[in-house]
Amino acid sequence: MRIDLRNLGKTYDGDRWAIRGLDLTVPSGSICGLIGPNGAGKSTTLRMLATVMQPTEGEIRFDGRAPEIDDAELRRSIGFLGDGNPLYKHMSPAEYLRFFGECFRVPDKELDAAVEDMLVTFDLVDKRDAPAGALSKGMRQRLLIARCLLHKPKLLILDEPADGLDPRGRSDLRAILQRTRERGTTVLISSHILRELDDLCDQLAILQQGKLVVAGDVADIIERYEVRRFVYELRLLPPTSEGGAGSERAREVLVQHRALIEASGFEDGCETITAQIPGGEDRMADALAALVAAGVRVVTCSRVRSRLEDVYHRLSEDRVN
Amino acid sequence: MPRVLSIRSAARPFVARALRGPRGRRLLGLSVLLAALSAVLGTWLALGTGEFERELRVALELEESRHVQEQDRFALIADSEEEAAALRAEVARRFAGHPMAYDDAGYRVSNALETAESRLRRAAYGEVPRAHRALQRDARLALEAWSKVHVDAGSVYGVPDYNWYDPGEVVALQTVVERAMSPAIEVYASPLAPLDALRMTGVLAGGALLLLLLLAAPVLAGTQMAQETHENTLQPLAGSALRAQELALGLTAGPLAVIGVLAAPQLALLLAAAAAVGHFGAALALVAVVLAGGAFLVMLGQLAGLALGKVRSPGLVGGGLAAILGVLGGVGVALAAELSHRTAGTLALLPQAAASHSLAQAFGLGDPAQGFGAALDTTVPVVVGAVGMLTLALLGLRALARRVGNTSLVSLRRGEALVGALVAMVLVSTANPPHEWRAEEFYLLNLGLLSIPLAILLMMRAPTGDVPPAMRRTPVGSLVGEFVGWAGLYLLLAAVLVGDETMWLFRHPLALLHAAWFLVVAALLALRVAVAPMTFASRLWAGVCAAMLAVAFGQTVVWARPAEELFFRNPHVFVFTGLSPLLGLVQAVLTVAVPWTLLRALRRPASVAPVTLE
Repeated sequence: MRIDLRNLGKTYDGDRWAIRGLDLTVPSGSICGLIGPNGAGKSTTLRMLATVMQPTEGEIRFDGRAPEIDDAELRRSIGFLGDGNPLYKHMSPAEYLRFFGECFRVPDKELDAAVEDMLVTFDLVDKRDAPAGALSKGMRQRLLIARCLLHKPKLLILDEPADGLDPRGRSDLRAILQRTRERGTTVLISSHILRELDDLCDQLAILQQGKLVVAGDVADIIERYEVRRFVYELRLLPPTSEGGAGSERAREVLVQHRALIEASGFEDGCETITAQIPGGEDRMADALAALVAAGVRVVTCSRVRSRLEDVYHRLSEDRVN
Repeated sequence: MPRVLSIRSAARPFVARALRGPRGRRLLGLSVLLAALSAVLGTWLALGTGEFERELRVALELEESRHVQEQDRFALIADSEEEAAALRAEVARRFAGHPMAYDDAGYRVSNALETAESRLRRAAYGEVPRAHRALQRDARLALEAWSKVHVDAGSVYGVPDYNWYDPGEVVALQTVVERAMSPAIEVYASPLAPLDALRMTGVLAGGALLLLLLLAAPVLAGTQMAQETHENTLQPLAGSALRAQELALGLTAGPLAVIGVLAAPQLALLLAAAAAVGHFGAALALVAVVLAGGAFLVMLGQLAGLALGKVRSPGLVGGGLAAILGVLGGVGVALAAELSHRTAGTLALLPQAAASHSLAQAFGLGDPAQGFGAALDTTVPVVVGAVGMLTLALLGLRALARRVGNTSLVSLRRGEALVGALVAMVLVSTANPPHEWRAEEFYLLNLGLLSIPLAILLMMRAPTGDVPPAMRRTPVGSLVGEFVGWAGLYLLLAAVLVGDETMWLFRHPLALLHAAWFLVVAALLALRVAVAPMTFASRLWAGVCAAMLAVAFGQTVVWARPAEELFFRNPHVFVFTGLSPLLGLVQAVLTVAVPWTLLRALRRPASVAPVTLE
């Protein structure tokens, strides 16, 4: 499902805007990350996309169609996990999924199989008849996400889905979202944990203070903001003789070339140094020549790509400046 | 999707949730148990010989008290064979000329004999209708035989005349004469026939139905709604494929399914019993009343749960609802028990009273002349009440749909609120109909009564959607105008019913001013409570405002009097001036301060709550 937001805005009192002037296109079958600090308008935007809240201005189009008021047909093709979604404590996961399956009018013939599929996918088979109140936080979160996918939506909207999930749960969630995308489902996801979105999303929108700061393809955005930042990782072999040029010597040479050492470590028998060298790739070439000339045994020198986190911080700095 | 199919598919998930797994089976078991309990209790209450069931039958006027029965039948009723034997022995002793024994049997036999002797003595003397002359002669002979003293005909000073014109007294005398002063000794047995057991079962089933639909259903529905709100589980439901109307129906169907399982066998018992030994029409009226009243109370309970669930725990909401409905139920039953022509209209206002009345009519309980008003024709208030409640329930469903689906900022549209106000006017006017000589008791009292439902309707007209409270803009002027318009419409209708020449409210500017202040402040207070957040201080201030409203209403009543009466009474513009000038000044200040503070809170809600944005 393709989503087009045009000049979308929401105000509660006609004065202060939770979000305003939001223009965004999310191609069908993509995973779009929505990031921004608290109060940026992410949840408001997602609620409007889930059609549980009316925008004050602008329009949303789903595959080119504008939603009607109380559009149950459209909601049938949307799976929405809002923020702070609790469960019915006395219902078991199987009962809970069946209940929502009926609320989403999943045909009777398919409902049992769909519930079973979700229980297996989200590793809840052993807990299928346990009361939801007795489930761990991670299991509850998995159940909530399972509820959103039960009716095979064309658009999946997840507001902070990784909350409460352990590292394995997060990894599983990424795998499930990848599979969901492969089925052609469009996924909109908001998260505070930018690393979660880093290699998951192919579209990105960064919101700040109710306004869209940047949006587009993740690779393009990183590429666009990467030009300002040159970080390299060097792998060095230990010196062949005592008193030979090692990592200490390498640091001295790098500092002479105005490098900013960001990190250092030891990996696979090699010392590693991560350094930021301003001024472009020429400066790095000079620094590398100096290192070799100084007798430092450089094995590899690779440029470190920027991450979403770096882009986000860069954008936040720009905003402050 | 067709409407019926839509309702079915909307209700299905919620009904399935309410009756899922072992819960459904347990509920079914409980339902069968309750039905069996009704049947067993009904049989026991009709045919049981214990003191409790006997007292209950007497209270329900299904049986005369033991004393009256003994008097009427010239008998002594024993609770057991042993007691009967003791009574027989005592009677034999007394006829053998022995003095009375100083035990329970002795006293009872002695009392019976003394009462019978007094009856014979009163009958033996004085004038007697021609038809009873033989009986008087026999009574004289029986008295002579008992007292061994010759009794002269004619009047004796100091002996009151016998009431020969009371057939009951004549029969009782005849029994004493025929039994020659020897009371019959009987072991107690219920005077009711086995068919009456079915009747009692019907009464109990009707009572259970009344409790289930007018108390349990609203409490359960309100508590569940409060829980959904409290735990924020409504949000995922609002995002499901159910329309707002379907969601509201489903949320209502869930708790009603539980109540339905419990109520179905009771309904069957009630109708079967009414068809066999009662009045089927009255039983159907009972069913209609409890369904309409129950629908209204369920909607009210759900709206209360929705409004209070965010700030109060579901248990507290349920407890509050149970307490309020319990009190209303008690008042309703009491009103039905003491029904008169003057109070018959209240059946329109209180479904509990109408249901109790219909139940009594269905099984002929109570004194036809007084108790439960069986002799009164209450068709109009019962029908008006049922139709009114059903209309209000439908409006409640619409409001509920808008709230749970968050499809509109206001719960009721202008036209819907007007319909609600008109229904409230009809119900209140039926409950307290116009009186020829006391016009003010009609229109002023009704105006006061109406201010409560009208204030609730106004709250539902206020914008209270999914918006932070401090960010709401309330069209205060137009909403207050609507409220005053409803009140004005009522006064217009009242003028049509009683004639404006008796409505002194319109004749004195001060009466009109007090009435206007009362209406405007009532509207402002309702909006304030509905729209702006309440703190401890604002709750206290709301209490002060409510007290001032009561004072203003009292002053309206005082000033809405004929000119000569006002001249004679010479009331104060501010009533507290009569107590002390300082208090009068305080009242004057409050008269300005109350509306001003309410307006301020409505115009600048941020002044009473911080702005929070998500």
